Amino acid sequence: MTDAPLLAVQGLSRRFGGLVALDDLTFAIRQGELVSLIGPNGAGKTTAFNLIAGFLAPTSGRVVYAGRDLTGMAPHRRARLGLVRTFQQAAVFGDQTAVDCVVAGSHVRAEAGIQAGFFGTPGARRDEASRYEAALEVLRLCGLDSRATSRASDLPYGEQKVLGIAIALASRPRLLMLDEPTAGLNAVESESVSAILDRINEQGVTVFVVEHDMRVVMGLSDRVIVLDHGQVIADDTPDRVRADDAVIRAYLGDFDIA
Amino acid sequence: MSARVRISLGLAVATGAAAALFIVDDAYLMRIATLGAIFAILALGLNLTAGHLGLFDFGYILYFGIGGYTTALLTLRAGWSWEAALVASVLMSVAVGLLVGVVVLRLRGPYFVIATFSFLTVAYYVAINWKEVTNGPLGLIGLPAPAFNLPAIGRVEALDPAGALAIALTGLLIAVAVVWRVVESGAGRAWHAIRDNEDLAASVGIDATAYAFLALAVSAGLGGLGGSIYAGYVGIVTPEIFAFGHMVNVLLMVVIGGTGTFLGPIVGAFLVETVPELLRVAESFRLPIFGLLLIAAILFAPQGVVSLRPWRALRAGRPRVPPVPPVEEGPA
Ligand SMILES: Nc1ncnc2c1ncn2[C@@H]1O[C@H](COP(=O)(O)OP(=O)(O)OP(=O)(O)O)[C@@H](O)[C@H]1O
Ligand SMILES: [Mg+2]
Repeated sequence: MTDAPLLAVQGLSRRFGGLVALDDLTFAIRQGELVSLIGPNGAGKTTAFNLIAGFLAPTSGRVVYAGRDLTGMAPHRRARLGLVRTFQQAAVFGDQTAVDCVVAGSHVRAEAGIQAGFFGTPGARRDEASRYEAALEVLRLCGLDSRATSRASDLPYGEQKVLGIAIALASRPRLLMLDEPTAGLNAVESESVSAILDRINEQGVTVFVVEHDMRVVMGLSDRVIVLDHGQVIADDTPDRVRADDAVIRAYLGDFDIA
Repeated sequence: MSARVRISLGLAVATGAAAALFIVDDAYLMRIATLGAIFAILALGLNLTAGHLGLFDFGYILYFGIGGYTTALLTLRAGWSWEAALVASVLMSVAVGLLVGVVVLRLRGPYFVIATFSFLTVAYYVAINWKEVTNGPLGLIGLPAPAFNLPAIGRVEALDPAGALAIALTGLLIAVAVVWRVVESGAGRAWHAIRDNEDLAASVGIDATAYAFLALAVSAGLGGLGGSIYAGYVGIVTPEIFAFGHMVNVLLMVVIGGTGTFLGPIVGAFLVETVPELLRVAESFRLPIFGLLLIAAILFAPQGVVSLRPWRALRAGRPRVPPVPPVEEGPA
C-alpha cells in the first residue's frame, strides 16, 4: 500500500470530434515527487490536466488518486481530496482584493464553521481572523504581500498568475498541478515561482507541473514526462529525457531543449 | 468611511426616518414607506442571486406571487391566521425555489435568465386558468389584515397605516438580519468566488451547485415573505402579482441601489417607491422624468447610488496641496 502511487493515470483518452487530443495516456506520480509534464504546443498537456482534475470527462480510461477511482467525480470534490490544479491563463477572483482571493481559496478548510458563522459566534470570528492571517502568510510566501489590498483584476498579468498559485496553495493541496505557472512571467517572477515550487515540494506537497521553461524543468524535476500528439514519448529523469532521441525529434525546431 | 460606519449610519438614518413617519402620522407617507419596505425585502432577496451569486433571476417575482397566493388560500379557504399563513408562505416559496433550482441551476448566463423567466410566465398563466383554486383573473379578495404580537409593543394590526408600516418594517428587519448573517457566514465569500470565476472556485473545492441552491432558497424565502405581507396589506391577490412590472421594479431597485452591496437594494427600493411620488407635481411629465432620472442614475452611478462618495467629490473640488518642487540637481 505504501508503494501505491498518489496519482495513477490509466489508459486515459480524450477525443474532440475527430481530433484525438489524448491517446491512451498512462503514467503514475508518487507521493512527494516533483514531476514535470512537457511537450510541444497542442500536445495535450492542458487536456490531461482537465481530465485529471475532472473539468473534462475522458473518452476512455480512468484516474486513480490516493487509491480511489475518480471516474465521474466533480472537480470540487477532487479538490476536497487535495487534488488541486491551477490554470494556464491567469485565473483570479477579479472583483476581490488579493488577500480576499486567497481567503476564498481556503474556503473549504473553514466550511465546517458555516453554521457557526451564521450565528457569528466568537469562535467563528476567531476562525475568520486566522484564515485572514494565513492568507497573508501565503501572499508573503508568494512575494505578493505588498499587493494584499489591491484588486486582483488590477494586478499585472504576471502577478495575477502568481496569485492563482497562492489561491491554490491556500486550499492546502496534497497534489498540486500547475499549468505553465511561469508563462507570461518575467525572469525575476519566474525565478521566485520555481523557488516556491521547490519549497512547497520540500514541505511534502506532491507537485505536477506543465512547464515550458527548460531551466525550471531541468533544475527542479525528479522526473519529466514528455507528451507529443497525445502520447507519452518519454518518462524519465531530466538527464535521460534530455538525451532521448524521440524527445529531441519532437522538439526539433520547436525550441532549444539544452 | 468603513463599511461598519456606513452601515451604522444607515441604520441611524433609517431609525430616524421611521420614527419621523410614525410621529407625523400621515397616511399617504406611511403607505409609500410601507410599499418601500415590502419591496426592499424583495430587492434584498433578488440581490442574493443577481448580486452575490452572479446569476440573474429574471423570474424572481415568482416567489412574491407564491407567497401571496399561499397566504390568500390559507387564510381564506383554510381559515388560517395571517401569522401562520406567513410562515407557510415562506416555506412554500423555499420549496418552489428548490424545485425551480433543479432545472435552472444547470444553466448559466442567458439560458438561466430565459429559464427563470419561463417559470414566472407559467405561474402567471396557471393563476389565470386554474380557476377552481385561484378564482382566475378576478383573484382572491378579502384577506384578513396582517396582525401579530410584537414584544414590548403588543398586538399590531395592519388595519391602520401605522400598523401596516410597523409590520412591513418588522419584515424588512427580519430580512436584513437574515441576509446579513447568511452573507457574513462565509456563504457570501463562496458566492462571490463562484460569481467571479466558477472554475477557479471549483478548483479549490467550492461546491457551486450547493451554494447556488442556498442562494436561491434564501432568496425565494424572502420573496415569499414579501409576497405574504403584501397580500395581507392590499387584501387581494390576483394573477397580476406575477406581473412583469413588479419584476422590472425590483430589478431597478437592485441596480439603482447597488448590485451586490448590502445597503444598495434597500436604498434602491425606497428611491424607486418614493421618487415617482415626488414627481407627481410634474403631472403628466412624471414618468418621462422618472425615466430620465433612471438613465442618469445608470450613467453617473453605474455601481449603484450607494457606491457614490459625494464627500470624495467635495474633496476633489478643493484646491490641493501644491506638489513638492523637484530638488534642483547641483553640478556634479
Ligand atoms: N475544448 C476543446 N475542443 C476542441 N479541441 C480542443 C479542446 N481543448 C483542446 N483541444 C485540442 O486538443 C489538442 C490539445 O490541446 P491542449 O490544450 O491540451 O494542448 P497543450 O499541450 O496544453 O498546448 P499548449 O502548450 O498550447 O498549452 C489541441 O489540438 C487543441 O486544439
Ligand atoms: Mg496548455
